[in-house]
Amino acid sequence: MTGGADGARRLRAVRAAGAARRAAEAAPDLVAGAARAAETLLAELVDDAGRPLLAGVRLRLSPGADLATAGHTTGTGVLVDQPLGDGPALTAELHPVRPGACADDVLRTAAAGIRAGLLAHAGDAAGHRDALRDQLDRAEAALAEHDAGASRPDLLDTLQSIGRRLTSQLDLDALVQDATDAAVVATGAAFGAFFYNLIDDYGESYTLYTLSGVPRSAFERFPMPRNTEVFAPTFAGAGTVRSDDITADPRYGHNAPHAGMPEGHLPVCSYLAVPVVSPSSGEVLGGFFFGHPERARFTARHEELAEGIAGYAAIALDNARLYGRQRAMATELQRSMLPVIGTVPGFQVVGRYLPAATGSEVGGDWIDVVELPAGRTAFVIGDVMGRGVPAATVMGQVRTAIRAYALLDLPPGQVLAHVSELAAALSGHQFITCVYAVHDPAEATITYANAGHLPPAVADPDGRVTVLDERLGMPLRVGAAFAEREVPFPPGASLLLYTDGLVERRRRALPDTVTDLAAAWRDVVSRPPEEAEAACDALIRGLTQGRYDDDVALLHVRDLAADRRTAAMALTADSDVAARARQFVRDNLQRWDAAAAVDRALMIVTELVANAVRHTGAPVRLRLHAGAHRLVIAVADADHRTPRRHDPDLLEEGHRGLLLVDAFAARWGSRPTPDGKVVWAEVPLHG
Amino acid sequence: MTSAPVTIDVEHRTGPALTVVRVAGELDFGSTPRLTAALAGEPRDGGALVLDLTAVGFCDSSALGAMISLHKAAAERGGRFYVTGANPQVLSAIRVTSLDRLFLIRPDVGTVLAEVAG
Repeated sequence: MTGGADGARRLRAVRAAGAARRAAEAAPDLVAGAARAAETLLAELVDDAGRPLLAGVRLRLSPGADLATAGHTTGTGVLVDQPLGDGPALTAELHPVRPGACADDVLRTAAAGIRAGLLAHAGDAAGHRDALRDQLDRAEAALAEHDAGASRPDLLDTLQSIGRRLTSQLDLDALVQDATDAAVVATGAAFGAFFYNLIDDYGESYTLYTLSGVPRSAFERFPMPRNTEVFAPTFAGAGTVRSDDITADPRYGHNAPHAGMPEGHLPVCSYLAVPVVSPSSGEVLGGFFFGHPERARFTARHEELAEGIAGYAAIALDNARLYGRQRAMATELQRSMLPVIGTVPGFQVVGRYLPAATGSEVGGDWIDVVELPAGRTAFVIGDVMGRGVPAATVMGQVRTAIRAYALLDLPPGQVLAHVSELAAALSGHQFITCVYAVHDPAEATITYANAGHLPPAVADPDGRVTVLDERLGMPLRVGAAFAEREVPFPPGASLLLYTDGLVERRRRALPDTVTDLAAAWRDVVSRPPEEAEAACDALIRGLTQGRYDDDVALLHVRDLAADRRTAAMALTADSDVAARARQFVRDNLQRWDAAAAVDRALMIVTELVANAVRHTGAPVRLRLHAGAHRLVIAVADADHRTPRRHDPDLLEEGHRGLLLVDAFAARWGSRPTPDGKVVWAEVPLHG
Repeated sequence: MTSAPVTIDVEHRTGPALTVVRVAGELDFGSTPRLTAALAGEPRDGGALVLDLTAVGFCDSSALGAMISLHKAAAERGGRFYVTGANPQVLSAIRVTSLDRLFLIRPDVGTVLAEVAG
């Protein structure tokens, strides 16, 4: 099956030889002819991709006299001796770009072209010249004939390999350039262009183009081709236009201001234009245009090849457009599912999500901040392995599930256990890792559970960083129980959650990169909070050097604790404990300048303490916690039963405690703890 | 600690029969049992029962429960139950539990005396 490749190679060699010959013939004398022939051969003898095959050409008349040199001729080239008429022999010293880059027959053909051209300047050798020229012309014609009709498999081979290449690409820029280059080579055009339409983010159509065989500068002065009579059939998708001399076409030259090609346009005589029509929608995606300064250069075979390439280009463009649309949808989907990280009173929160710089689909990373009852806050980071819409949809569902369980105020380990069970029922098999961390302002702690995720890091108020690198739990979907750990988190402390895109590097082991991260974050926490946003961006840039193969997500949290006040007292099961609790509330609220909340707070604290003493017999602790706007009263006891509000009959004497709490609190509730529960209530601090 | 002990003063009047209970201090689940114990069997002579809370700074749900008991005891003997002198905190506790539909709320004992005599 090398016939096609060989044929194309020979055809190019013959064409280059012909070009060299014509250049030599057109020159005024032998020396100038040699120089032009050498340069032309260097430029024209190229491989499939248009790369030169020759590094240098040196022409000598033997013995000894140098005629012309072009390119690099250092070292030994391949010598091709040719008698130049009856006079001295011509030695062509041809230097391939690398040994073996040019087959012998190619070099001989090339040298023959030069010789034929130079014979025009050897007056006594007209006979040789004509014979050689005839020979070359016949070779050119025979090869063209051979390629055009005699060998259909060649055509199919060429088309198939181009088609395979085109349709395997999703990168639009590379694709259109490749298609244009392939088509220009296949049609033997002097140059070609591919105009194609794209739809921008706003749904507007716009047109881009690629060129081949000519530098972009040759056309950049010109406007986009307009819908003139010549171009119209192509842009309308009406079919191929092939002309031996477009300037003689009745459709040519009718449109102002140029009435033909604009001044300075490369000369076009032979013209071939093929529309590119979407196989899925029938929409015209663009068109190929080929030109050649000589007439009658494009044959039926060229037309067929160009149409074949246009067909593949249409499929490839369609794919790329559909893919682009799908990717845009996936990105939008993910963006719409990412939470807006709002402000959390008393905290600085810096959240970052950066899609992978390499690769093309969105991933399944997410970050979240959930304000829980009683002034607590949950910080979440997670990563659904995999990419694209499937990962993004699983991420959305898992994130929502975590929010839902978070608002039930379950302990972190239970939140993850529930989500793990739920995720196992979702479609797909992706691993899902997650850290769920809850800050409790009254306790000044963070309690977290880790489902197979990278370890969180905390920094104390003095900036000492600790990576919480205990054994990871199992990922979601796999794990059933998730251990909880509690760490101190005093005002001024910071928390860092991140995904693997930030620390996974080729050639660097994970523990080392986590250490790198800890060191970099130390710099972030050592800065004042107002610099944290910029410092986090710098941290991401520094660790990834701008090249991240995976998504990067990061959540940096600092407890600013500006307005926070907390107080705690131990509770005992005696009869005056409620009176002492009320005094404790009065004292603290007076100190906190929160007199407006006192009456409600006294009622609530009395009822909560009463319940803890009378119904559980094991009250543990009363905590007060005031933020900027609300007071939280929390009573812990050593009983797991959840309190329930009753609606007593009017004459019923008991069961009014939680009714009163309900009436005086903005909201109240309870949450389980490892030892029992906490019943809490919130009271507005002002009015 | 700082909470004052609850004091309870019971006064029985005649012509017409009237029991006035004056309480001082804070009523919660720790102190209310003393009120309940002190008023067992009241109103001894039937007639109206007045619970004067002028000197009560705080009362919780257990105190409300005790008041419902007093209301029932008065009703059993054909009398009515009055609450007087309640401060805003106590009043709002009574109102949010709808007990103002059950108790007769009056500003002070004098108002009740005039009402009963009239």
